[in-house]
Amino acid sequence: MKPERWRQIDALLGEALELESSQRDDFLNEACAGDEELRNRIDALLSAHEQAQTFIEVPALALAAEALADEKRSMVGRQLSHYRVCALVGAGGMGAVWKARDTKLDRDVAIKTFAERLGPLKDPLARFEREARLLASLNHPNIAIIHGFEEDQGIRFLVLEFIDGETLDDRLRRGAIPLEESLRLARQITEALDAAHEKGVIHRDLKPANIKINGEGIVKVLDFGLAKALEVVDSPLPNVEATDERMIVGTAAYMAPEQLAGRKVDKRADIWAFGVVLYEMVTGSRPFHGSDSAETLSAIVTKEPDFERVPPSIRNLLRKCLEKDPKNRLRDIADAWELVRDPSSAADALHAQTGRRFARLPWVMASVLGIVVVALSLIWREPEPPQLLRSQIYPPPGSLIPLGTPAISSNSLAYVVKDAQGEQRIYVKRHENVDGNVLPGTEGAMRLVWSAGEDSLAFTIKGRLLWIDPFRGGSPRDLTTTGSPWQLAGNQNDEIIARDKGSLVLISAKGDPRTPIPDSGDLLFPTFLGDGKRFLAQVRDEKEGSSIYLAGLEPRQRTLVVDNVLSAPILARIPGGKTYLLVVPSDRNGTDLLAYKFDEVRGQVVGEPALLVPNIGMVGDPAVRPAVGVSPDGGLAYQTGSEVTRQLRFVDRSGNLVRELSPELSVEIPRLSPDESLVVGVRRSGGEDVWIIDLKKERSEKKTFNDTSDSYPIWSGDGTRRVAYRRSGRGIYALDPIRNGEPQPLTKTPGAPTSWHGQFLLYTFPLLHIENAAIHLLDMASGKERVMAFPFGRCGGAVFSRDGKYIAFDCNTDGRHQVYFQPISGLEPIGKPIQVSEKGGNQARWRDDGKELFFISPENNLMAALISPEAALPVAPPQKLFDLGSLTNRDIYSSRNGYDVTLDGQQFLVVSEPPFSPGLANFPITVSWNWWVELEKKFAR
Amino acid sequence: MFVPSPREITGLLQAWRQGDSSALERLVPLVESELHRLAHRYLSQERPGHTLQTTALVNEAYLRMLDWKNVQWQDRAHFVGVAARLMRHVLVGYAKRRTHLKGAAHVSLDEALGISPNRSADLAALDDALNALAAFDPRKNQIVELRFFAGLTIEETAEVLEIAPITVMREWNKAKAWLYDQLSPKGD
Repeated sequence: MKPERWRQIDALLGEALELESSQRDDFLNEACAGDEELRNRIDALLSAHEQAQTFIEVPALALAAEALADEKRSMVGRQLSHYRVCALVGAGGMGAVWKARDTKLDRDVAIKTFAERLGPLKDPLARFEREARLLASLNHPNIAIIHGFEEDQGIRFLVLEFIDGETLDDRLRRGAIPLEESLRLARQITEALDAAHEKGVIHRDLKPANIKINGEGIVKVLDFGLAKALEVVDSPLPNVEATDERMIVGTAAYMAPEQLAGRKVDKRADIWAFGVVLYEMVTGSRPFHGSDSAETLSAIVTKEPDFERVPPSIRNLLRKCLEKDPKNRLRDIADAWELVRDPSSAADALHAQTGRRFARLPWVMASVLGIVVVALSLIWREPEPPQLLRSQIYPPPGSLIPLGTPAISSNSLAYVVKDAQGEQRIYVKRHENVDGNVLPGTEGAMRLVWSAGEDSLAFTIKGRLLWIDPFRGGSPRDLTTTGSPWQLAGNQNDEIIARDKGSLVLISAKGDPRTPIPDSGDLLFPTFLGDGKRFLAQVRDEKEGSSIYLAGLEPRQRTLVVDNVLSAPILARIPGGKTYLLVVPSDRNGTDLLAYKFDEVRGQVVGEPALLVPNIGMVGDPAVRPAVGVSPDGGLAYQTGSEVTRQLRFVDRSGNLVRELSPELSVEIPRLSPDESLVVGVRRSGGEDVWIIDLKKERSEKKTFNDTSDSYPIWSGDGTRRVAYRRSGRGIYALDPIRNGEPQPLTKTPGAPTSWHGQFLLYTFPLLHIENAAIHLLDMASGKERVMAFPFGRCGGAVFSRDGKYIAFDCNTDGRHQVYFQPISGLEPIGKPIQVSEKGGNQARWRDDGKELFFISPENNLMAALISPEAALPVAPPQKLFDLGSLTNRDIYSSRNGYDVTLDGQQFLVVSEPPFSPGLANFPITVSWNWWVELEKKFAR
Repeated sequence: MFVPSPREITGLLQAWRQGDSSALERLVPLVESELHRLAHRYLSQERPGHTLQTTALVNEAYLRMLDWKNVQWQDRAHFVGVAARLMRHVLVGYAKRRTHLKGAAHVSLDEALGISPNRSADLAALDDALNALAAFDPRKNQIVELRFFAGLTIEETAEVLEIAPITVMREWNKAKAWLYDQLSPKGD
């Protein structure tokens, strides 16, 4: 093409694109003035533009990598042995299940392949085959048949009976199952279990996802004994991704307490799982649940299910199945039906009527005193040590634990507790005991550190350094020196580094009291390496940020270890000689405690870090010390959370408080559900996650579980109470917070949803540069997406009115946002947008009747403007309702941190962040052993 | 395998820019190994059937490969331009080689096109179309290289080219329309 011709096309195309689509025809008719070829070319480009929405928007490198990955993993169409793979049926942590055609026997089979990361199953298959043969001998109409285990083209796979139908898990997503139907299904499950138990086969992983119901209503239990069989071949089989909590819960929720504790299991573990499944069938929810895996697992170990929710005829059976002690549990599944009373009894009929009233979800609150030991057992390797062990330490009655630095030794934990009078004292308890003792004479103590011998404890009171021997009694010894134990580091040569007059000195216990360490003025928080000569320390630099350096006792012997850190270095050593460097980086959102592998010989970190604890507490002024303690034998004690308290508040049109929710129920970017009973919002813990607050029951529940950031949740506008949200880098997803199914992707475009009306979703994209954002529309019925045509390019925050006839949004023109509303018809704008704000505004919200618009002004005032679209003057001048500055320190206008309004426009939901509310919150301590097990898995990835 | 540090790679890129073609020989396998590493992450982190489009992953890959911090600001635009050219060179070459090796298989752009599967194109076809575009509109070619091959945002592209973001947005939209039109099958 000639450049002149192209310039002509290019210019006209540009102008046409700036116009609303309805005006383009007239414009082009005139501009092309009979030049048919020109007109055709521009029309073709305009139509290409309409279709090219996501075209080349994803970077080439990602596309190429994805395509490469797809190629590697796709099995569809492949011929494995004499099986032709037809389709992917399902996928899970262990691998994938494919539908395939057995070309020899001309029948459909299911093929189970194993995830690549599991590695090829090791070694001669003899043992597995022996196991598989036993499983194959389970010939029962309610057990899915294993045809065999084969290998072809380097892929090893199980061949199973293909069952056309849904899983019980799918069925339960639609709600509880009527009692009669539940019992019909349950009876078949017990028959399958009975047949297997007869042959000495234990399922070990019975759960709704492993129970299939075919077209005729026949139950087929899948994966019998597979867990065990896989372990037998000694595969490096990690049960689940440590990061995917939902998956842990999904499997562990059905595990018996003894299984969780890693003890040997017998058929009674299956009986427990059966009880959990039956409970879920008749009530629609699990007997044990919590907001995360730790809570769920602790519920299994410590809580009794709410049997009130269960029809009386099967209460007895469920009680016997769900006995925590296997000794007291039902011994034989064949006896189950003797415990069921006639389901048509009068009591059941009564329950059916009143059941709802009793249907209270047991809500696990963290108010348990003492210890809840939770063993996140590795599901398919029960006998293998070590296991991650975690316990929560709660304060003694009448007191709370402020954020501090818990000091852990191999036998004890010391921390500060605060009593009702606000007095802080040291509390010491041995690991094996639930209770410990308050140490008298330690009022005002801070910064606890165990001595190397673990028999005495150093701490500070008002800057003085003291020692106490907590196990022999006696009052603290004042070392008559000032300083902080954090600034002390001891080595095995009985030498101590301390800070003295702004510089570090080496103090030897043997003689020469103080050797100054040259050039050490800027080295903070020293901690010795194993050689007792070199140490790590933090160096703060105004410009460069803080870094961790390796330093020695010689002058200028200093090398950079990690830069961009917020925290003092912590070296955690574990049995077996490994060392990790724990730091909090400064370049991530929130405060994540990361762990690096640390080479003590070279004094360097090895490789990339992995996340150890999200949202770790930080203490000190400035807050650079993570609330973490380590013991020489690999114990880890930490506190999470932050002292800044956020609260959700409802205020009236004058900003007066109507209702305040407790800080535990806070979220950011809150949105009220259409029925005003729930709030959806975002909480930070490492990344960001979507949480739901139930305003009636006053509880909160986490709804997204992954390492990516899940944010900008909004409610559906179609009465289904679903939530759309942005999953960082992956697109927009929808989840059902009531039924808790798998989140469904709506689009891959990584925009932030702003409004959901019927089948249409409005979103803002791209996000990285809000200034450049545009309003996009997704038709969820057809999956089509497009930019809604507006005359200005930098718009966002679009919200539909309830009737879908208008949208309100804000656009940034000349550096300031203004709020507009726009009548639409058939999703096309009619006429020009009408400006609502006068002196700037964003985050528009409609009153439900569409007659008033609210927004935030740049001065952080909540503004309201009456709207009458049909009138000559459709917008009344906006009025200030109240100043948000009285409720929060946050700049709501700039941060777009969100708010919401009730349907009647009389109350506003805002995130209030009081200036400072010191020390009222309680920060339970988590003590963890064998924490590196999970960490090493992350490194391995 | 010896893996050069980001700083060395930056040096290699500069050498390539100054006409040292042996530098390219060392750069190509590096980008390809990064590609495989990314693919592996897609494989290991995702369940089959789910595709993952993480700009973050790509950004991380660039950060691993390139020493952005130590490139002089004045030099950045050139540097980014060269990096984008390198990406294009390697990825297109890779796609072509795979097509050659595997017959019909090609690195599909269906995902990017977001349309029916029969309308597939591949990186090689896109490369040809871009070459045609460059002949009469070099700026659009440059913007596509930066956006698509170097993975820059609108804002970053604007910074590199020292033009307004809105101009980048407009040019990008028009370039996309033209390329899309070129890659769409004709005459049916």
